[in-house]
Amino acid sequence: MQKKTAYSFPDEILEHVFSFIHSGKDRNAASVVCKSWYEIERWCRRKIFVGNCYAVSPTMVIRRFPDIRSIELKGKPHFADFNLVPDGWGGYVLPWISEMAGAYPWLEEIRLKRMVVTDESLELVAKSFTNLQVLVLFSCEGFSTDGLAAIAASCKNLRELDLRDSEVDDLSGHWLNHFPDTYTSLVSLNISCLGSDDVSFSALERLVGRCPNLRRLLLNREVPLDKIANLLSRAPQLIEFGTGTYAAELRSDVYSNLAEAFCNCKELKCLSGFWDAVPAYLPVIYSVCSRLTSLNLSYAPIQNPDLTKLVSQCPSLQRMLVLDYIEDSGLEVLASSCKDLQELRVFPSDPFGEEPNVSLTEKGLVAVSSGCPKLQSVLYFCRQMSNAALVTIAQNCPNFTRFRLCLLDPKIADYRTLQPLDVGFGAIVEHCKDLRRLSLSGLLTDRVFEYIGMHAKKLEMLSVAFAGESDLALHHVLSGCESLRKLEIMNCPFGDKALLANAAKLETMRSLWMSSCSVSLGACKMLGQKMPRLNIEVMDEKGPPDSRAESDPVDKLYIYRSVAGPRFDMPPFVWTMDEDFASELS
Amino acid sequence: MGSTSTKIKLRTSDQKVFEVEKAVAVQSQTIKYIYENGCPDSVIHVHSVSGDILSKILDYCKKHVNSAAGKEDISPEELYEWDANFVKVDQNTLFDLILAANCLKIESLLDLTCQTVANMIKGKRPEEIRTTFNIKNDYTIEAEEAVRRENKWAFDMLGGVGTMVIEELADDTMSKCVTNTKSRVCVIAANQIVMMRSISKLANKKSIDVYKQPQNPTTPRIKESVKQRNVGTGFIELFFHFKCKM
Repeated sequence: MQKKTAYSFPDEILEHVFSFIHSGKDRNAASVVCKSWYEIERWCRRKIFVGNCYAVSPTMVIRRFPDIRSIELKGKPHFADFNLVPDGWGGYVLPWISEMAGAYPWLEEIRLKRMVVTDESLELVAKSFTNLQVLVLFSCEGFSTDGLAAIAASCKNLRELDLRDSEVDDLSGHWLNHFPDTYTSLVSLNISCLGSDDVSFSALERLVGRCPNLRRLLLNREVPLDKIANLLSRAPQLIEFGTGTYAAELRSDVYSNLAEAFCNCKELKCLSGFWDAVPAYLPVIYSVCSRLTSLNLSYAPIQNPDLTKLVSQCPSLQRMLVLDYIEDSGLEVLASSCKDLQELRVFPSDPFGEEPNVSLTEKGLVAVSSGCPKLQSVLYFCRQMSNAALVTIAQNCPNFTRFRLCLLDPKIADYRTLQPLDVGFGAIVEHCKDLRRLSLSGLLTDRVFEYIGMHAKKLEMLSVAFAGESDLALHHVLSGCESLRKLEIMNCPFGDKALLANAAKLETMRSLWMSSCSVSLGACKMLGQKMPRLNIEVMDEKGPPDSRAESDPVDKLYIYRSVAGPRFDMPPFVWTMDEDFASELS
Repeated sequence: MGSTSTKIKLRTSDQKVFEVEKAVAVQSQTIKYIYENGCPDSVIHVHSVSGDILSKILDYCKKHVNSAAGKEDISPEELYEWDANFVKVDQNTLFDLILAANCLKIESLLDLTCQTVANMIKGKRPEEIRTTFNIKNDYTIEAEEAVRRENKWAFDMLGGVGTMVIEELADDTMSKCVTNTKSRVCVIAANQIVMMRSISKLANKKSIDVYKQPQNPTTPRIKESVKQRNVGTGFIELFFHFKCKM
C-alpha cells in the first residue's frame, strides 16, 4: 500500500509535531529532510546551543532562527582555565546581546561559559529581555556588581541566577537590594564566587525569606557560620545548599541552632561550600547525610578520621568532590559505603609541595573502582600510578564516560616498573568503550596514542600535556578517533607533519588547541591556505609572526571551524592564518 | 431522560452515521461549536473524516470522557498505556487520525498523535526520516551540504562532555509522563523534586494534574496544586528531582 507522505500535512501540524522534538540533534536532522521542513523547523526552534561563539555569527543565527527563547554560548577555549589564554583574547558577549536585543524580545534563558561579559552587556540584557528567567554566567569575567544590580532591578521573572566560578569586580554589596520587595520568583541562586563586599547579608536574608520557591542557594565564602541557621530556617524547602565559611569557635547555641536548621531541611540533597571547615561543626549535617546525593568538600581542609566518618554516613551519594585528605583509607570507606557513586573528583591539597603530605595513591582509586559499580566520571589528582592499577581500574569500570588523571609530576613513570604508562591508559580506552572524555598524564610515549587511535572511537575530548615523542602520536589520534571534537595539547613535541596530513580532520572537530608544541609558522600558513574554512589563529605575545622565520615554532595555536569566517575582534597578539595572510603583510 | 444521555448524530465523508453521546462528541471543539450554534437535532456532517477513522476517534473520546467522569475505574498509568496502544496503527491510519484530530479540534488526541510522529523522527538521520515518511529530498547537493555544515559547525552538541545545561529528568516515569502528549496527568513519587529547566517540554499544555504518589501504596494519591504561568507559550512550572549533566 502506498505510504502517505507528510506533505499532506498542513504546516501547523508539522509545527505541532516539532514541538515535541527538543534535542538540537533531532531538530538539526529534521531541518535537512527537505526544504519545507527546514522552513517550518527554523520558525519553531526555541533553544540553541553554540559550542564556539566564533563558529557562527549572531546575524546568521537570527536570520535562521527568528524566535529563540533559550541560548547557550561558549567562548574561550578550555585551557583558559589554566591561564593559558591571555587577557583580551576575545569571547565578548556584547555583540550577541546587542543583536539579540532587537531580535529576541522574548528571550528567557541565557547561559554563557568562558565569555567576557561587561556591565554594559548586563545592563542591555536587563533592559531588553523583560521576560528573562535564567541567567547563568559560568567562568565568565569582565563585569561588576553594578551589572548584577541592573539585572536584579529589572528582571521580574528571574528564576535562576548562577555566577559559578566567575570573576566579579566587587563595587558594592548592595546589588541584592535592587531586587524589588515584590520580587518572589527566585528558584536558584549561586553567588559562591563573590568576594567580601559583594553581598549585603540583610538583603540576602530578606530575599531568601520572600522567595518560597527557592530550591538552590550557594553562598559565598564571607557568609559566617553563625548566620546560616537563620537563613536555612527561612528556606527549609532547599534541595541544594552551599555554605560560606564553615569555621567558628565552638559555641553550643550556634551548634544547636545549626543542627536544628539542617534537620528541618527535609529535602536537602546537595551540599557544598565548607570553606575552611572545622571538624567541630561537621556533626550538624549528620541528619542530612543519609539523603545526600552530592557532596562537595573540595574547599574543606578536614582530615581523617572526621572526613571518613562523614563519608561513611552518606550511602546515597552519587557525586563526591573532596581534597586528597581523604587518603586511600577514606576512599576505601567511600567504596564500601557509597554504592551509588557515579562521579568522583579528588583534588590536591598541596599540589606544589615537594613531598607528599597525604597518603593518597593509586590504591584509593582502585578501591573506588572496585566498590562502586556505577562509577562513570573521575577526576583524580595523585602522585603515583602504575600500569597494573590502571588496568585493574579499566576492568572494574567499563562504563566510564569521563576519565581524567592528573599526576602531579607530569612525566612520572609507573612507580613499580619504571615503564611509561602507555599500557595502563591503553587498557582504559580499550575497556571503556563509551569513554567520551580523557585527560592523560605521566610518562607517555607514542604508543599510548596508538592505543587511543585504535580503541577510543567514542572519544570526544582529549587533553594531553608533556606526552609523546613524535608526530606519529598526533597522527594516530587525528586519524583514529572518529568522534573527536575537542583536542587540547600542551608541551608536546609535535607536529607539522601530523597536522598537515590530517588537515581535513580539523573540519570535523570543534577546535584544536596546541601550545608550546613544535608547530611551525610555515605549517600554520600552509594550513591556512589549504583549509580556508578553518580559522587558524596564532597567538604570540612576543611579536608578529612575520618578523620570524617560517620554521620558528608558534607559541600558541587555536584552530576551529567556522561558518562565519575569520573574526575581527582579535587583540594585537593574535593573527589569523588565512589565504591572504602572506600577501597582507608583504 | 437527563441531558447526559443526549445523543448527537454524525455523518462521515463515506456517508456512515454515528449516534454518539453528547459528552463524548463535544470532546471535539468543532462538533461542540456546530452543535451549540446550529440546530441540535440535525445531523452534523464531518466531511473530511471517514467512518473507520471516526469510529476510532469516538473510541478515544469515549475512553477519556468515561475515565475523567469516573465512570471507568482506570488509573492514569493505565490510561497512558491505553493511549500508547491506541496509536499502534499503520502510518496511513496515524496520519488520518492526525488530520481528523486537527480538523475536529480534539487537542489531547492531536497531542498524542503528533507526539507519536515526533517519536518516529527522533534519533533518526535525515535519510532515514525521508524513507519513513516517503519524503522527497528537494535540496540541491550544495544546499543540503550547506545546511548540514551549519548544523554541525555552529549548532552541534557533544554527547555529554562539559555541557552545563541541566535538562534531563532523572526518573524514567517522569520522562514518560512529560513527553506523553496526552498526559494531563503526571505522577511523581513522594518527596521527589525535579527542576524543570526545559520549558518547551511542556509547551502547549494548558493544564496538567499532578498526583503525588505516597510512599505507602495503599494510600490514595494526593492531587497537588499546580502553578500555572502564562508566559506566551503557556507552560506549567513544576518541581522535580534533577540530574546534572556535567
